[in-house]
This record gives sequence, structure tokens and C-alpha cells, in this order.
Amino acid sequence: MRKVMTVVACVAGFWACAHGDLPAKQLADAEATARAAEQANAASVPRAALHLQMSREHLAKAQVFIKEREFDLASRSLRRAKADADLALALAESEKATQQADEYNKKVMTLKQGAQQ
Amino acid sequence: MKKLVITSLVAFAACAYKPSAELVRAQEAYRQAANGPTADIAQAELHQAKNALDQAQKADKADPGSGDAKDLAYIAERKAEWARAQATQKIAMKDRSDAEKKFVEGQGAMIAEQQKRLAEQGDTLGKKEEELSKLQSSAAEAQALAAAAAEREKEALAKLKAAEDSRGQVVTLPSGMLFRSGQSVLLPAARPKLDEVAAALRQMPERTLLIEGHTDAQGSEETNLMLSERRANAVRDYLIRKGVESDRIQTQGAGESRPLADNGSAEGRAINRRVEIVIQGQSSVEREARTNQ
Repeated sequence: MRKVMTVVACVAGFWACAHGDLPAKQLADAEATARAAEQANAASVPRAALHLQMSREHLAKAQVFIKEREFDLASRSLRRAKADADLALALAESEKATQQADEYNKKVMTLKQGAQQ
Repeated sequence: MKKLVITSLVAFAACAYKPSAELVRAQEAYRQAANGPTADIAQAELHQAKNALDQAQKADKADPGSGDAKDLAYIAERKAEWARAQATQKIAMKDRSDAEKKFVEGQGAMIAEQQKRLAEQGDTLGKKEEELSKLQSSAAEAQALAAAAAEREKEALAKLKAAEDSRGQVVTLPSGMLFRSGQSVLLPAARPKLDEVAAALRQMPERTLLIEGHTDAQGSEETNLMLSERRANAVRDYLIRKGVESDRIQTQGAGESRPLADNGSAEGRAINRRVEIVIQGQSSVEREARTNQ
């Protein structure tokens, strides 16, 4: 009995080593960042939209790997998904900040023109 | 010989290393980030990108083209671009903050200017209101005075029993009360009546006067005309002595040309022998009343 248990434990250990643990946190992080990028209107900024799309593709691949219990491969896809989602979010927020700066600069110009009249 | 072989193999291995396409892209992305404003503005982010690149380079050298090395290169490229995006965002936020500050300052200056103008307008308005109030008081006072004057005129005319005709208000004085027959010297008995007339006329300083002498048809036309002129002048001279302004008064002799009654009877002739004082023109109150009708 003990021999059987040892063999089973070794196989399980070997299998876990080969396939890794379910990257649940990585998955949650990557999905959360992709959602944040969507909410920041990444879809309306060309480069941001591209990286958001890439993030979604990596997330989809990761889901497939998870289904197939290939957790190492899933983890690698999720790292790429997170990197693209981070970039998409940064690009979206950068564009928003630029637009706000432009709006305020226009307001200042309008105010100056009004004062000169 | 062995040493030579080993050295050659190592050298060959070193020369054979070629970074993967992914790593080259990551290195280029980092180079662009490091050479731009990211290096000044997003140093922490750039440092993260550098760490990611170092990891990718190490993995690629250790196991060129491996999945792990490619993943790390991919992530390093994204990290460098992320660092640049962070720098752009920080620049834009500072720009917005500066613009916002200028906008608020500008608005503040505009509001202060508007308040100053309003205050000046308020002062001007206040002064104008004061002036208007004074004018209104003066106008009210003037109206009151004019109304009082009109009332006095009305009373005076009523006392004189003036009748209105096309020439104006006419006060008719029978010649028998004023003169002896055929004479133009005023009788003493005429004075009280003429004093009354003078007093009434002094209440109407804006009016002009026409004093007309009239006779009956007895005697020649020429004589009657001259008599009527002399009588009109006599009344004028008396009124002037009693304070009525001379430049208000005109005289005229009408002789027998405008009888009021039939000269065939004694009563008719008595009526025709008269002096008429025609009070002409309108007081300012009457003019205003007519304009407003």
C-alpha cells in the first residue's frame, strides 16, 4: 500500500511540476487590467485598442490552456495578456490626459481673446 | 591542441549568438524610451522597463529562441512602451494643471474687472438716480407752482367775469363806467374796477393783452375811431401805472366798426360804448393740458 501511495504521490508531483498550478491570481489580474483599459475607453485610441485586442487574444489562449490543464503555458499567455492590458490602459489614460490638457489650453485661449476684445 | 579546440569552440559559440527578433524589438523600444523625456519624467517606470529588458536579455543569452526568452522579450518591449506612455501622461497632466491654473487666474481677473466695472456703473447709476430724483422733485415742484398759478388765473378770470371768444378771454368794461361822454380821461369811479383788473392781470404774467376801444355810431366815423383809440390808451396807461408790464399790452381803436347791439336804441348804444380787454395766449399749464389731450 505504501509503495502504491508513494508512486501516486510521485506521479502527481511530476505532473504538477510539468504543468504548474492553476494561475488563478494571474488570470484575475490580467482580466481586471483589461476591463480597466476598456473602461478608460481604450477602444477609441488606435494603439490602445490594438494592445487591448492583443491582451484579449492572450487571455483567450490562456483559457484554452487552463481547460487543457497546461498551466505553465497558461501562465505565459497571461503574462503577455497583462503586459498588453497594462500598455492599453496607459495609452488610454495618456490620451485622456492629453485631451484634457488641450481643452484647458483652448479655454485659456478663449479667455485671453475675450479679455482683449 | 585541446586548448585550441576548446577556445575555438567558445569563440564560435560567442560569435554565433544572435539576439532573437523579439529581443531586438524590446531593445529598440527601450532605447527610444531612454532617449526621450521618459528618462527625466518617468524614471521609476523606465527602471522597471530596464529590469524587464535585462531579464529578457539574460534569458535569451541562456537559451536563445526559447519560449521563455521570447515571452520575456515580449513583456520587456511592452514595458518600455508602457514607460513612454506613463511619461506622456505625466507631461499632459502637468500641462493640464498649468492650463487650469492659468484659466482660474484669468477668470479671477475677469471677474475682478467686471466687479470693478459694475461698481463704477453702480456709482454712476447712483449719481444718475440722485439727479433723477432731484429733477423729479423740481418737476413736481414746478408742476405744483404751475398748477397754483393756473388756479389763481382761473379765479382771477372768474372774478373779472371774462367771456371767451375767438380772440381769448374778454373782459368788457362799459365806457360809461370809465369815461364821460365824448371824453377819454378816466373817471375817478373807474379806478376801483381798473385796480381789480390790474390785480387780476398781475396773476397772469404769461398772458398778453389787447385793449380795444369801441364806440356807438353817433358822430362821425373818424371822430369815433380817434375817441376809441384814446380811450384804449387811457386804460393801458392806468394799468401800466398799476404794475402791469407795458410790453404785454397792445391797444387798438375799433371805433363804431364792431357793434354788439343795435345802435338804433339807447340801450344798444350803451352796450356798444365799451372798452374790451382781451387776455390772449395760454398759460404753460393750459399748453401742457392741450398737448396731452
